[in-house]
Amino acid sequence: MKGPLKKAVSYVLAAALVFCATGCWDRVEINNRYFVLALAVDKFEYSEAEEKKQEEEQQGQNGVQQPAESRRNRLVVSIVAPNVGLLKSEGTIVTEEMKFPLSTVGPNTQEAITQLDTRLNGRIFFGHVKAVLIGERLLKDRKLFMETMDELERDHQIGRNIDFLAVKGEAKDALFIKPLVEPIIGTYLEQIFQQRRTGRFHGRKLGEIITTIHETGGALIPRLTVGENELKVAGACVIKNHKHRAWLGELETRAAQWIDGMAEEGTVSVEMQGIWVPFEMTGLERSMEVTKDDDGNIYLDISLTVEGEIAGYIYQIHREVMDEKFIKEAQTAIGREMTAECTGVMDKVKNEFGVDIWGIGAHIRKFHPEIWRDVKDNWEEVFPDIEVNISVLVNVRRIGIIK
Amino acid sequence: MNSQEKITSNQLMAIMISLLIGIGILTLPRTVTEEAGPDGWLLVLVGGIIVIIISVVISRLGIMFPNQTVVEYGSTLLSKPLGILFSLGFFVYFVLFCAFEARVFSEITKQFLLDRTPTEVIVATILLTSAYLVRKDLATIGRMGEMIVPVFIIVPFLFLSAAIPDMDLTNLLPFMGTSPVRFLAGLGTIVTSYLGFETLLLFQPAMNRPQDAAKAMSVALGVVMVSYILTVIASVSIFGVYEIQRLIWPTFTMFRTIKIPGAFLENVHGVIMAIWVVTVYMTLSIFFFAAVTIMGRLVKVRDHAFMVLPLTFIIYFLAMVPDNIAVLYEYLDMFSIYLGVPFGLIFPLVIYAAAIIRKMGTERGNKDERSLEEGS
Repeated sequence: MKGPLKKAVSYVLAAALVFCATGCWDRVEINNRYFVLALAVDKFEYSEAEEKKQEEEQQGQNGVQQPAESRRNRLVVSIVAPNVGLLKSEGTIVTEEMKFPLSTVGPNTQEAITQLDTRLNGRIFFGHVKAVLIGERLLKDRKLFMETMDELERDHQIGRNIDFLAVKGEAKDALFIKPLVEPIIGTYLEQIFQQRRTGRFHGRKLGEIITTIHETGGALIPRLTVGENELKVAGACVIKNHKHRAWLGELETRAAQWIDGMAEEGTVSVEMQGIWVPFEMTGLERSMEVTKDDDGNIYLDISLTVEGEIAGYIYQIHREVMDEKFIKEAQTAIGREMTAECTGVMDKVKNEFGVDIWGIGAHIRKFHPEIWRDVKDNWEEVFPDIEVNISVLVNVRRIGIIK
Repeated sequence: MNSQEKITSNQLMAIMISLLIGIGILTLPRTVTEEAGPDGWLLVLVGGIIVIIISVVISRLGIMFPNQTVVEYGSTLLSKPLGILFSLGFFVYFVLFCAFEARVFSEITKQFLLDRTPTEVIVATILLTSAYLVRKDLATIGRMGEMIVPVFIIVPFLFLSAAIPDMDLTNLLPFMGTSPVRFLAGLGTIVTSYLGFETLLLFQPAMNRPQDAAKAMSVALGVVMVSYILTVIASVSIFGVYEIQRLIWPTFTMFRTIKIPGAFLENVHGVIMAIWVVTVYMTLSIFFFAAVTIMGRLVKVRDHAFMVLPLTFIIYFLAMVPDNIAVLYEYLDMFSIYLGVPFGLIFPLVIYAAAIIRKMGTERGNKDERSLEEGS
């Protein structure tokens, strides 16, 4: 390259550098970000009673008003973020609120969030969302629920290893309460999930729930109940055909998890000669065996092996717990109780709801492709007809520190 | 090119690994699962073996015609007009590959990192950065590769080990459940994810010991194959065969699900993005270099540097052609099947067959090489 040309090219390159190396379109200062920790989505329903109540209460005040009834107002989207300034506790004046919950209505989650953006002095950021909450009414509206699920999955900021909860009632309420134990809602929920010792909720994450819904149209979602100043995660919501089908109680959820080989910890109480004996589980293993006879009937054998300790009996009674015979009896009783609980929930979910929440179809697909070939096209009809046999083997290993 | 520094076989390995791992690995788990369900990883294995065989064939050609690239021996073997036509075809193929690489790069960066930065700026930035590297010689690229290949092989798999508790290996069952016909059809798709190895047709003369090319290629392709297989197994066992088919870039989404408990960096996604940017940069640069080399050989110039900048503009405009991501991936599929398969797989075999049938090269080539070695 000759001198002038070379010069010209290097000028062009230098000029290009100005565009490439300076000015960043995506620069956001960290204190201008509004770190959403929990997102709650509800179905919007206009109620006249509410409208009247508000009018009476506010009488000319310029307070919060119920959004108008409109084709666009379909969802109520609420978010909550911690007061980062307070956590840092230095610098400029900050309000004393621990968290800032916000709520608005919109045709879809994305637009509602854009509307929330107009009320904030920072940019909403979903990279740290810990929990997504779905209200009961939304769960029951198949189309809206599926739209919301799609938006959640499509968004690249929302991780897949976050908690996903079905709220009995309005999901929005959960974000606006002031919990006593941990003021920041998202963290609170995350911590409840981390100490999954009770076995009373289905501890699956958003990614796993999305996957099972795609595969079978059904799933179990942990249930959240909102109290005055506390949240409770217990029980589960049964999704069938991409919408809410029923609620499962706490004990049913626990049994459903046993069948899934989950919920290794927790207490089972069993009545023995009028005494309620607590059995603390410390381990659980599950195995599934599928067989098919010549008539085309499918049999499913689920066997659970449980380990644990007896945590109580009755004070000052002649019979000692430290006795092989007693332990054998206890094992039988506990096994019977657990079998009954499992069979109960299996009957309910399989026969009444007809939802394959345990991935039995997937199990057959993986381990018995030859059976799957025959049933895969009408699995939904076949599933309630398969015969399930559940057996529980209990091993009491310890009895505490007294005889 | 004779005046330029030669590359060692380690550098060739680094070049090949960083060339092959690029935009393909992000979609690979999805494409193989679409083709072969839970047997996708087997497809990757078989595809890898096929590609290794072809690369050994290519390296034979390089030994038969020492100090020649496909541009020269192609003309000798297939007659001059045909040879030039094929070389031009190769040139177009490499240029288009660069354009796709740059565009997919910008789409993904925009999706995950820089959502407000204009696509044009992202494409221009990566192209100008590689143009800088391409103006140098292959040895420079090789040294760059030697530095970064260990990083981008080791770090992602370290992170991946944090996801082992979330993996359900039963998702890979049933084993060998795919019908043989479907499996064979899938092979056509999978070999396109190894495209790039055919640049050996151009790079072999730049080696200081061209006779080591076969060994280096086998090792490099072996490393790529193992990385691909691990990626497929990990993502299928995390997502399952149904969910994975819905994800555009399952590999990224997989790293999105990983949380390293208690670590300073909880989300490893950002680190993975950063590493991936470098791998795309390498892939783009090497294809760019291949395009420039082939043009330089065609017009017989000593220094190719002056062609780089004009070509940058051509690639930039080509990269801007697809309107949206759906069209982009449709073009990319068409490109890999209608250009990638002929130029990457069939063409080397045709040339090799021509060399055998016309009894050119072989003996003479080996002798020449030996005398060359003794002389030096």
